[in-house]
Amino acid sequence: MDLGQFLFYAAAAATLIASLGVVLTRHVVYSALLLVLALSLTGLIYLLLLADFLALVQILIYGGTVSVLLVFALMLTRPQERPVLTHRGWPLAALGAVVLFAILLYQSLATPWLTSVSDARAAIGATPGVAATATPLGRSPGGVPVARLGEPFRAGPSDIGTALFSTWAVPFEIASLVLLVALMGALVVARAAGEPAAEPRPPAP
Amino acid sequence: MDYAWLIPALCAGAFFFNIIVSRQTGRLKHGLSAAVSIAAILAGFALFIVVFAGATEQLGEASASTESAQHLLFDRVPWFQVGSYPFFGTMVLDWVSIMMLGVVTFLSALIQIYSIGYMHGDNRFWWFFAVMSLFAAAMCTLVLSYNFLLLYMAWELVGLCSYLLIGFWYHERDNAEAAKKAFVTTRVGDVGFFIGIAILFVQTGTFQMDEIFRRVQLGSLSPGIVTAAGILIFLGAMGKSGQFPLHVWLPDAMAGPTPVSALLHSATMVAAGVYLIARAYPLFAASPITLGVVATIGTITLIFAATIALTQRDIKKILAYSTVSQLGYMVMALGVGAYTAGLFHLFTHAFFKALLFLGAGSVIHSLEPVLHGTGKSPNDIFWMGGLRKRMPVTFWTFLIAALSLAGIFPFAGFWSKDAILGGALGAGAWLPFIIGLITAFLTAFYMFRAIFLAFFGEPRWPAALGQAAAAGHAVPELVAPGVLATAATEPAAAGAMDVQTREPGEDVPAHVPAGPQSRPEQTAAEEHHAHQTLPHESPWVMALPLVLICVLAIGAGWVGIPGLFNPFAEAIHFGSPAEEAINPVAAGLGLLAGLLGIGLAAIMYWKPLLSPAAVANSLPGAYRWLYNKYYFDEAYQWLIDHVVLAISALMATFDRKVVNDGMVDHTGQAPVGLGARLRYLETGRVYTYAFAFVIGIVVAGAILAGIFPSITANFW
Amino acid sequence: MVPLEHILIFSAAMFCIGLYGVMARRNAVLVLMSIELMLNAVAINLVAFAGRLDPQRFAGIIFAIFVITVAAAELGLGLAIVLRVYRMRTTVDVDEIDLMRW
Repeated sequence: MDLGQFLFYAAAAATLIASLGVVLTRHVVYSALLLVLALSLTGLIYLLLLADFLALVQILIYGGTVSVLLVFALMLTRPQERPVLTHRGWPLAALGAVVLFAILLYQSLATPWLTSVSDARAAIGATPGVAATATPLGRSPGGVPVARLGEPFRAGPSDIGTALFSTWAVPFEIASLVLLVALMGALVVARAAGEPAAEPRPPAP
Repeated sequence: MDYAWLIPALCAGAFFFNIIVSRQTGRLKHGLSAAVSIAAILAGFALFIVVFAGATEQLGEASASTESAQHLLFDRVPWFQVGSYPFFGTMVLDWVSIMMLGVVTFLSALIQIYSIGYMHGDNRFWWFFAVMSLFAAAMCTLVLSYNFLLLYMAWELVGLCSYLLIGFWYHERDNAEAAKKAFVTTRVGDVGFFIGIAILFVQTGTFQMDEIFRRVQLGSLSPGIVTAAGILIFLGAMGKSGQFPLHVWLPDAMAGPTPVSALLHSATMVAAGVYLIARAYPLFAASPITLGVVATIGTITLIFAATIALTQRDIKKILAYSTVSQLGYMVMALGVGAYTAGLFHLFTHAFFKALLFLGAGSVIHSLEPVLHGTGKSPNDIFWMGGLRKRMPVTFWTFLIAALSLAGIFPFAGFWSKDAILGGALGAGAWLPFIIGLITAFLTAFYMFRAIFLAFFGEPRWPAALGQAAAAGHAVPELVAPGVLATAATEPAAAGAMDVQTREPGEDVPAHVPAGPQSRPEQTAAEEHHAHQTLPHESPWVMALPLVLICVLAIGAGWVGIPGLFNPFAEAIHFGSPAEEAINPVAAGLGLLAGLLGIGLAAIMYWKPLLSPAAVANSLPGAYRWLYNKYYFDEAYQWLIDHVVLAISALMATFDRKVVNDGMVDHTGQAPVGLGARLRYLETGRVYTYAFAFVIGIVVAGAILAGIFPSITANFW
Repeated sequence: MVPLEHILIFSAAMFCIGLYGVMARRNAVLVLMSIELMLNAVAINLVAFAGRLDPQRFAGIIFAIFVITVAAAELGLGLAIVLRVYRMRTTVDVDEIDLMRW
């Protein structure tokens, strides 16, 4: 195994341990900090998966803003005494989670993913001479030419930017709308009840 | 030929007109309703003559070997369609239906004219005529129809008219009960009738009689089906024609006005049963078992009813039982295969029985004012006597009719009754023959008992008895001395005649429409009559029909003289016409039986050489049984009380508990209960909802992962 | 080259851990944190597919960007609601916020 693979497995293991810590620990602050750790390690994994730009975005947003936000929230909603942090029914929840994991595990292993040229050729039964295209992930038209499957490709910021403003322009606009709505919603909801925005004060006598 | 349907149509039109006219108040509506109704029926009769003349031309006197189908003319009118089944209103004109049409229109016309006098002053006069018109329409439709469903509709309509007319004076509880009894009893028969029709429909897919008869004659129906259908249809005839054991309604039907008894319950409606057997004869003839049943029931009926008639005091009841007995004769004749004889007797019997009823009505009508206030019924023959001198027209017509009924030469009844007896003998049915002969004797006896008691001798109504005692005349030994003293209610002491009755000495309950409810215009006339407490002859509106029908009571038989002049037999027959001469044995014995009956009645009631009281005392048990009609009504009542009502109570409990409580209430309660239990799912906690999500996700994931291949196979 | 299946298993595990956190934790803020875990697991999944099956068009990476965007928005709004509830009831225990029950 080479360095890339080793790093991936190490990062993955660390992320999982951190996640477990997030959901199992009894100190809320530890949860928050472990979350930050987990998400930052996720950024590292993005890097290993050749999504550079995304790794940057991840660390900026989660490591930067989200963690701060969460700590503030924890600070503002601090209960008086030491609370119990887990339900009485947590074994059932664990069971549910485990069952779902088992299903997903089975599904991941059982599906024949078309990750190589030979797989694709076999799947579509391509005859030599005909320009064969495989449709990755099933059903979208306009598939990638089989010959180029499996070749790694690093999507740089300019590529992503171009795609965001051309192919994915509409979702981009919608996402910005979502952010606007979330912003305004948070403002309205978090304002104290009955607190006037700007009430004209009576003139002082 | 095409006009035959107009006859019922005109009468139906008169009915509807009368209903509408009833919106008017005042006396105008009475006269108008009678006028319209009678006009309609007379027009019907005129049309009948036209049809008859036309039929004579078209059908011809073609005798012989041709099948009866050749004698039919019919018309098929498409009426409605249910699913794939087209229903036709089919009309048939053969000699049987023409004969019935003639009888119905002729008698209806004369009896409606008679009713002008009889029902005079009744404040529901118009309704009487309306229903009489409806009855005429329904009866004509019945005899014209060649489609079982159409016949059944007309059948039911006729039953309805009977109910309405029997219960015409429904303010008296007994009348309403009698009407109900009539309807329910005939209903029992009708159920069988309808099941029979349904069986035929299921087997053949049609209600058309021609189609059904064709299949029966081809043999394409199984014998069991033919027999079953025949017996069930006969059940309908039993109900309508008062055969044993469904006879119980006919005597009670005498609660209706006498014209109703004359028209419906002697001549036409009760004859509908016999007509049905004749019309469906191809079905009956195909099954010897059915014919055997028919003959047996007919024979039982004829003697059974005659024995009851021997002891009755109410003149209308005597005539009612006589009708039942004569219907038994007709049914028996059809059962032994004497088709022509049975229908011939129906024909003659219609006339002389109607005449007898009308005469009885005349007598009752004249006795009402005489017996008013005495609590005695004007129907009771014991309070009559000596009417011969006071009501000559009535007397002579009644006598002729009675002679006809007794089968005395040369009156109409002689020919028809002897045709039946001869037919039975000829068919080898010796038991019905002997029973018929004995009953002929009984018939003559009871009929002349009534005549001698009513028309001969000295008057016996209370006023007259008082006068006779005062004048020193010998009081006839019919009534116990105790009766003379009291004029109000009946004494407990038994009359010499009624030794051991159920309630000794109880008189016939008065079915008189006494009292102001039905006859408001009578009070002035009653007071006037109270001064003349003597019975007198009826007005000419009532007497004229008596005379006209009498002519036929004499002469109706002369179209059936075998060997000499017998157009009846040539026209009406089943299969090949029976060319028969008079059977001298049958004729002679029949005549002898009749004369013996008259003679015995004479020596018991006219010149009392043999005391009736002695005869009754010597057979007390038999007397009691006969007087109480063999306790049939009591038996039926017990059956109803213990069986029918018990089943009804069971059904009611089922309806209450299962249907109402179980199905309705519990179905309503179920959502409420379910809701009350399900609401605990809403815990308001995020954890619960999240867990529910997870369960859903797990299941969906499992299905998508192909863990349940059977389900996914259905999906993709 | 790490096999695709391993990445998928890893992200599935992270998702299920987050799921457990959503169900089992009582503090509302912790629940929101667990939701973040789940969303990030999804994003990793998307990126893995993009890299292996569709590298020329990298649709998965774009998708992941949007997922992060929406996750952030949702987190902000969710925390606003939690703060509001805290002001009213002085608690953020999800078991005690159960007014909408039977």
